[in-house]
Amino acid sequence: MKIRTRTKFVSGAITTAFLAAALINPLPAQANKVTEIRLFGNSTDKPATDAMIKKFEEMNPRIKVTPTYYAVTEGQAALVTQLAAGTAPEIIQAKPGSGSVDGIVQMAKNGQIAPINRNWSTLVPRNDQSLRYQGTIYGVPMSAQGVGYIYSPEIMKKAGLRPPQKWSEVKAFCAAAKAKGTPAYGAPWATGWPTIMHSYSVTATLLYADKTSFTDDQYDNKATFANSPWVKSFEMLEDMNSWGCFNASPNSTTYAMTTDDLAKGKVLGWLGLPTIVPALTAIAAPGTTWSFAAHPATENVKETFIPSSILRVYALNKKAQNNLAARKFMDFLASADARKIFVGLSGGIPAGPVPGYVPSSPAVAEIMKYRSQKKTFLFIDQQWQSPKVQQALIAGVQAIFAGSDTPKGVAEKMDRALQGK
Amino acid sequence: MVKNRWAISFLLPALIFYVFVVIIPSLQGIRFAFTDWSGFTQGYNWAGLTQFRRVLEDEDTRGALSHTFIIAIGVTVFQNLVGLLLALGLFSKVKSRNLLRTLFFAPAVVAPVATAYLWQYMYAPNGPINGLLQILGLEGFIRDWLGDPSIVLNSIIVVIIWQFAGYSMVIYLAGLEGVPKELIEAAEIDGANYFRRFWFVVRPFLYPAITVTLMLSIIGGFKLFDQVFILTGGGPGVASQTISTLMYRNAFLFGEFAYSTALAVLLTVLVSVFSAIQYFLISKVDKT
Repeated sequence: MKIRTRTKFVSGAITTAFLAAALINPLPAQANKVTEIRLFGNSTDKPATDAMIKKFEEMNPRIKVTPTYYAVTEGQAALVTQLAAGTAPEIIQAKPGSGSVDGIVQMAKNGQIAPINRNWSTLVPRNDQSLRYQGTIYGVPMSAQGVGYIYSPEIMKKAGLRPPQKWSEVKAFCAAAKAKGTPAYGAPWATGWPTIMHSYSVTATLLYADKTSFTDDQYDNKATFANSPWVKSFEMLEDMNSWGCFNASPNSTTYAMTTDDLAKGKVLGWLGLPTIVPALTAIAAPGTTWSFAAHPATENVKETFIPSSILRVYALNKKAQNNLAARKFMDFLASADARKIFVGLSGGIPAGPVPGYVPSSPAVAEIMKYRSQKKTFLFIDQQWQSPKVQQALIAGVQAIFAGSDTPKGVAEKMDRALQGK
Repeated sequence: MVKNRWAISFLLPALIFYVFVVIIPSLQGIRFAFTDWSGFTQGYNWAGLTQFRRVLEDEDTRGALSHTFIIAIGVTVFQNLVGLLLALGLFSKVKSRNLLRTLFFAPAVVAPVATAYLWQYMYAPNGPINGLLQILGLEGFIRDWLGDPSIVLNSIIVVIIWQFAGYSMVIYLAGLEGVPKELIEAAEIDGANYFRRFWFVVRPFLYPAITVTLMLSIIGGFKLFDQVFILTGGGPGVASQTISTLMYRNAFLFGEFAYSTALAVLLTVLVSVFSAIQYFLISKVDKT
């Protein structure tokens, strides 16, 4: 008994001594050890992300964040491959909702990202399901966005025009712009995703403003695209094309071409996201500012809604190698400091409260106005359960412009994609 | 016997590497064509021939299949025709032939992605091609080269020919080097014109070169991806969707890896069958 007590005492003393030594005098190698975490980001947000990383590394000198940036489409393929192979970075910039394979809901469902049960619920409104899976939050929202007509007030003033506020004004606006040799709307359909902007805008007003449950109705077989204002949205697009609203050959025009044309005043505006503003500012003449106007769908200005919701989100890889350091970075991303840096440099809108935030451009200020008036509806693909629906929309708009499909035909293809047929 | 053993011992390291890096993963991959694997999770269920049935029923796949055939045939025929003509032209005693050979071959060493971006610029609505046509007063020929479904496949084929005709040219030049000069001279003395000399004297010696270039171009044409993806992304709509771009779309955009694997198996079968047919036909002609 005595021997056992002595043994216990001796081993206890040794353990305590080791622990004390470790705490008081850690090994020099461990003291200097830098933990590296990797980040998968969108190339559009590189300046903003780099600035956030710099700030984080200043605050946490023992953690190094190594980012890799990808363009939207290529990035999705790279991320999917890395996730499948188990080599994806710890921090992943993802999309909200379930409309794409790198959507938060899809990745959470597939068990690829870790739940984030922190005090971040204030950043994600309770009715926003785009970052939740089975009630749990899986992503930190960095910024929101809105879709509308992006233009330079200076260039517009020089042309003696102003963006249309009612649908009936669009025709005259396009004709006047065309007469001055400058198309009213840039149409970079070759890039794919810009094709969705018009339909998202118009249906926000014509459909989703009143029928917020339309997508649920579709999945319950109570509604279809083909028997909804979606068809009208495509017909309106055809009308705009016949009125000469767009640049020549939209199906061969890329987003990069439109950015260049817009900055140089070769097109008057673009129906899209203010994420384009930093790129425009870099190319355009010094002093050029960029504003935003809602895209009208009716004759009543007060009825106009815009598509707007969380767009940039970061998630934590479930197989994160350096989990603790990665979670620390996620905590930082959720802080007001980080989000202020991000929205300031990426042309975004704060997804949650950011004290002292000043809108980075008039375009952002205008979208914030719509958001505060609650005249917005989320990017509808966030509710679609398959990426095939958006792909059918993109291919459909291109086909309409190529003359190989009709508004009704495109809507029917979207219906088939939604029903998984 | 001893000779064989030596040969095998030299082959063995490369063979083992090839088996482990190519053959085994490919065979393992094929089994996914018979499952419902999404690519995102470890689990999957056996689905029998479901994916292959879908391949046959899917409207997009049928379209992609026909586009793939058009591109493969167009590329095979015209790349070889242009390559052969270049080779015949540069096999002469033209002083600048070495410089010209280098220039014509140069595009083949450029990355296909870079070529595609270059041609995207060339084909742009306000790009150099339409600009040149305008300067020459040929406004009637100005087209939406990548945005018009009726010509988009031709535009893609032109890019591939521009890039790889020089490659075929080099192989044909090697073939031409093997034609005995005495035979050509004899035919010339006998009064055979250029075309008859080519057809009856030169052509039979070119069969090995024809076999190689036809096979390479048919395989390249069938599995073409980079250029189509960059130039059109399969659009406008689905007008230039090929089996390869469809595989990419279904795997990486839709998360349907099993279906993409089924498409890959189909593509492998197509390439193998067409290469074998072409090889058999050329060998038959060569023997006669």
